[in-house]
Amino acid sequence: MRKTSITIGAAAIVATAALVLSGCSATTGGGGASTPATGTPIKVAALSGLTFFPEAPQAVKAVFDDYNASGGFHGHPLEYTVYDDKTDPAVSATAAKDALASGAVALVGSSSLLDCAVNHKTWEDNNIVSLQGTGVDPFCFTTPNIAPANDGPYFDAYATLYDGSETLGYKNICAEVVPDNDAGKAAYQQAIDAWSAKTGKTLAYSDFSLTRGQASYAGNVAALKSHNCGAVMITEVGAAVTAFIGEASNQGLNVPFLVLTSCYSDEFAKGISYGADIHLPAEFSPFTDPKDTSNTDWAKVMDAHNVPKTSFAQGGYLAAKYFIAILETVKGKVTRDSFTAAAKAMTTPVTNPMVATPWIFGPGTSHQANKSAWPVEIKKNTSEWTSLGPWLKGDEIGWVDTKQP
Amino acid sequence: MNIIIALAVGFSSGALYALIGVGLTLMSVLTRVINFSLVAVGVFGAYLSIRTSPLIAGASLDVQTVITVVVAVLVAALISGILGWIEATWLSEATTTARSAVTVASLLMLISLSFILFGSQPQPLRPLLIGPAFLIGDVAVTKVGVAMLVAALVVGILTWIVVNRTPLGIRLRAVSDRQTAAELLGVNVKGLQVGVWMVVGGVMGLCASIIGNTAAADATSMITLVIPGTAAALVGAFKNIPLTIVGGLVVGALQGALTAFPSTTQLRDWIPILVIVLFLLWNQRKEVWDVAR
Amino acid sequence: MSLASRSRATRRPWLPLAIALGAVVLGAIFGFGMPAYVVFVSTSVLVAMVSLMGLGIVTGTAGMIALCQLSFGSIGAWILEFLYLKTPLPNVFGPLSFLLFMVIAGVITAALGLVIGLPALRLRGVNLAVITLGVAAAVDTTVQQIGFPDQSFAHIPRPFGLSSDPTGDRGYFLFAVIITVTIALGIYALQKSRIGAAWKSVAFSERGTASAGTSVRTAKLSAFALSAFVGGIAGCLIVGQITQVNYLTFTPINSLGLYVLSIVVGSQLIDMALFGGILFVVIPEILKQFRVPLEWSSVAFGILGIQALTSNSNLGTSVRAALFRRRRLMEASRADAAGDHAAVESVAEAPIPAGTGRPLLVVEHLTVEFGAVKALTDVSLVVEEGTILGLIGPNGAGKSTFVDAIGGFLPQHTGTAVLDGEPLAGLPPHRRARAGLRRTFQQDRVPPSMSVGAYLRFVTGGRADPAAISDALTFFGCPDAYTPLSVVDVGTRRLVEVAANLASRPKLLLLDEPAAGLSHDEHLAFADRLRRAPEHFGTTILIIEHDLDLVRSVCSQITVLNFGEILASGDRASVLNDPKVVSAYMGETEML
Repeated sequence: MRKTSITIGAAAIVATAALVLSGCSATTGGGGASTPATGTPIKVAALSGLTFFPEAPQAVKAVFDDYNASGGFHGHPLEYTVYDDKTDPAVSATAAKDALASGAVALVGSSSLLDCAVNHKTWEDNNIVSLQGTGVDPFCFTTPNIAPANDGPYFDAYATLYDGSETLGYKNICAEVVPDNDAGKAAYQQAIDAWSAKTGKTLAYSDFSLTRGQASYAGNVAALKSHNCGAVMITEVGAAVTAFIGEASNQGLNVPFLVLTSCYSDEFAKGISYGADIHLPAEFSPFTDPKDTSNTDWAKVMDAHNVPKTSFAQGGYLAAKYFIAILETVKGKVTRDSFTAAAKAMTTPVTNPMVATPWIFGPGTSHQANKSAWPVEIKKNTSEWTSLGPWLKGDEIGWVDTKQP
Repeated sequence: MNIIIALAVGFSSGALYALIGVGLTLMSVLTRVINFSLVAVGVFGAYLSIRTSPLIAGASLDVQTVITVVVAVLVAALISGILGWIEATWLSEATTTARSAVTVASLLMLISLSFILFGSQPQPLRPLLIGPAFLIGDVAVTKVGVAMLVAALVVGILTWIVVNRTPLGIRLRAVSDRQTAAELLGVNVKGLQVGVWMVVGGVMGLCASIIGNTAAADATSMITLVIPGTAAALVGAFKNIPLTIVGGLVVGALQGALTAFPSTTQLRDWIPILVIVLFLLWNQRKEVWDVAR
Repeated sequence: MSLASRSRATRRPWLPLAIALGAVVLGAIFGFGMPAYVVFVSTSVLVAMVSLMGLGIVTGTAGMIALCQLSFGSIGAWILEFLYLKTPLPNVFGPLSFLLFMVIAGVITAALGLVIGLPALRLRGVNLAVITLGVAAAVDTTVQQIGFPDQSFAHIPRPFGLSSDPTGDRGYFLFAVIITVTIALGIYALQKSRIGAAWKSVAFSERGTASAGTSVRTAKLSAFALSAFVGGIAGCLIVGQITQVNYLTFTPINSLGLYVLSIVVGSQLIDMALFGGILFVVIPEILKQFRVPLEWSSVAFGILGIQALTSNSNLGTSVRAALFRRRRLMEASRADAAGDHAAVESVAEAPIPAGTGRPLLVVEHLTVEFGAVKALTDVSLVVEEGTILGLIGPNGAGKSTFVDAIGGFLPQHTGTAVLDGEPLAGLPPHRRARAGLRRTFQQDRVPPSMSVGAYLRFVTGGRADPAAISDALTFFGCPDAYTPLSVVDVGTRRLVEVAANLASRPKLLLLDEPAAGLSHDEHLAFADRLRRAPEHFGTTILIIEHDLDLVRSVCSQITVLNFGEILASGDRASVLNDPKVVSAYMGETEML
């Protein structure tokens, strides 16, 4: 393990592949220590909305367990604690204080609708970094101490719009946006404006009035019907999109839907019966594709630890891998300060076949390392995902990083 | 947007509110309780029923559907029955307020449990009915809407027949009017009350299966459908089933009509409460404090 | 603040203040002595406690179901943030801004609470639950759509320039302690006051409240508005604690949780609100330690709530009742040891009071119809000042309807009623009570949540001094003033009700079957006291009674109602010997 620990170097790609292999297989080890780590633990924490994203921290835990079993970091195991933020700012702020009080050196794989917005300042004040598993709100992509493993909904919205209008050739695209707050609304608006600037197209209709847990989408669907939409982009999470598409069927609206990565799960596909295609840009390479090989190690680790295979689990897995990569560059005692210094001193990105863009923390005041997506679809009247590809890369399709509102 | 389309949109949700309102009214009349958990038990039954799918994966699709629905109805009836048993055992002489407060506590429990069990992940709760029943130009009247209205009417008419035309009805009325007297006459009060709870709970389980995952984002938001349902029931003063059905349709239609004016989306959420307030102020204008207490 | 200490508190008015001061000192020691995380979480306890105290006013004290306490919190928080970020006021008021904005936010929230509460006036408890649940959902989505002014990127400054680091957390904890203690003191004082008594009374019986001369409307609205005020303050405290909020901080399910918790602990009691706040925060904290989803805490609250409701008790009152019983046992044993038995007065039987000859109440052509049924038809009668008039008749004769109509509870009647020259038409019940017309009820309408003395102070509207109250209690042989009504049996409660109404010295008192539930001996004693009452209290009495022995022994005049009409009316002997009266009563006896 320690032999393969220098993943950050000239031969980054090769090294990462080695890390991936060794990280999962405790029995084969990396050649060095293959006995379980028993030293003083290194504490790591995460804040997650467990009702929305239970798999992300489970995936992190799976990676860490394997890492500890094969010797940990110089004999020190990683001790991982997850705090439920209940998607409530008050609980989230409390959990942040709790995590800091526990002596965590970093936050890894946090997955939440609001963690970044509530706590980014706390992280900066306490010189701790967060390797977000699933970052949602704009502050995950616009602040100095947070770097997510995922693309985030704003890149997703851009990518799905670009895919819809340019690759699939849909005209008259309409948008249903759940803004959460003005910051989220502004970030979606930035993405939509960037899409318009790149493609010269505009939305036929946009509705920013969706709320979380809305009881009925009848009104929104009726409004869509009266605007002759050729396709509908919706930024809600899986369960809500299911309900929305159900209401669309009820009212006889059968146009393609362009949805975000949170819908990418087998459960979503099973709950759907719709008379038109549903397209989605997956944030990581498509695990439902039987021909895909980039997810082999991930799938093995998830299966070994009984973690459901979803894109949130992919995000958590990658965040854990990135953490280990940085950890192994830390000089001397691993503390909050030394880890943060190592993260900010990072100059060479980590690559992983699950994403098309290499990941880096580095010194910047904002971080959006991951900006690539792999198109998948549910063909009309089917209930399973079909892999389409190829990678949509942010730099190639004209993506502009989200700016802090 | 065309106001006709808007009204048609409102009709479908209104029919659902009407059915919920009828259930609430029934329980209020027959068991002296405003059951805030009414929708929750139905949703719970429906969501739990899809957990049976791995067990019956071998059966044909139709058989699977039937089994799922039956399980949904039974589970909902069972949960509702347990609540009814609690009420009938310990709160048989309590005020309507105290009895209803129990359903608030159970609502809290069911919402939290639905978070724990079902989370916010999509659930493959396929609706029994989907698609428009008929289209008039752009105007779609959904199958679910028609089904809900029919169900509300059927439940209303059946209730009327049972209560007014059968020996069981006499007992039911006796139980709700004079419980102690009914007990002295040898009527199985507890059994009847629990029976009413189970039947209404089962109807709600069926109702949740019919609308499936097309109504709301998740189990929790589906449970909040009880709010417009109470608005409908209040229009009938928790007594009158025809007025309740009208009330549900009115609330739905008003909400639908507002969708024609997108700038008023915030007002839409206040419609049930406005209907409740206006109706109550009008309906109770002559009363001088409570007689019951 | 147990019952024992409460009676001491009346003797030692500085005690609550001393406890409050002690709490602040303890808070300071705690806030600057405990680990930072513990202090931060303890601030949440205080916030939950403030919410619970606010809720306790409505649910505990005034007995309504309110399911939107956190909606008030979100409204208060929104206003505070608005004042901070969208107005130039923070520059003007500097470090005092937070405090000032908090009060403004509380007042505006209270005003909104009034608007929501207005329909609730006409509503029974359950309908208020429906409305507040609707409000909770509507406020939730509205706030979600319009967002909070902080928009998750501005941090609201804390009061007095406190920072948002752990040192600031400690300072803010002390600030929260002071605010919480202030609110607790305020609520405690209000509960002891007349308005607090009105809340307790309205919780038990709206009619009882109105006939004690208190406006049900004012009582309910003031409870709801105050609850909203405190809810708004709690919302502001949350903003100060975490310096930014969104709609999820105030989600309706947490309002449900607070309501249920309020029932479980009995949060109208200050110490129990603190306990509830601790539960609200500590149960999730414990779950967190065991990595259990936090939603299980709500499940636990739900189960506790059902338990509390089915056993019709809450922690607070159970603890207090147990304490009181122990104290009374101890006192009783002490009294026995001293052989200190109150000597039973045996004086000559008082005569049936004779009137002054002046007509006090003149009722003419009173008719009441319920749909097609005529409950009273053209009833006219005169009550002479200083007498006791007996109103008798078989079941369903319309006696209680008569009292309801005169008391103002049946506005849809025809005919006139004039009390001491003043027409009563159109006056609501509480105005009639203030005009000198009091009544008691057939059913028990004495709120068990008060002590005997507090109930008398409430019913007399503060007009009776402690001496007069103790005089009235002695007159009817009622329990001591400090006894909680919850431990008094139903028959004696009726006596307390009669004593309370006489102590408020109305011109006319309508007694609706006051002796039901008394034993034969108590009956005799009651009759004797009743005969002395007109002279002792200067009150004329109209009594409805089934027991003809009692009527015969106290009334100089008797009116008999049958099928809503006057069958006979006149002096005692002639009416009771009237053959029509005898046959009406015999008829009923046969039916029995």
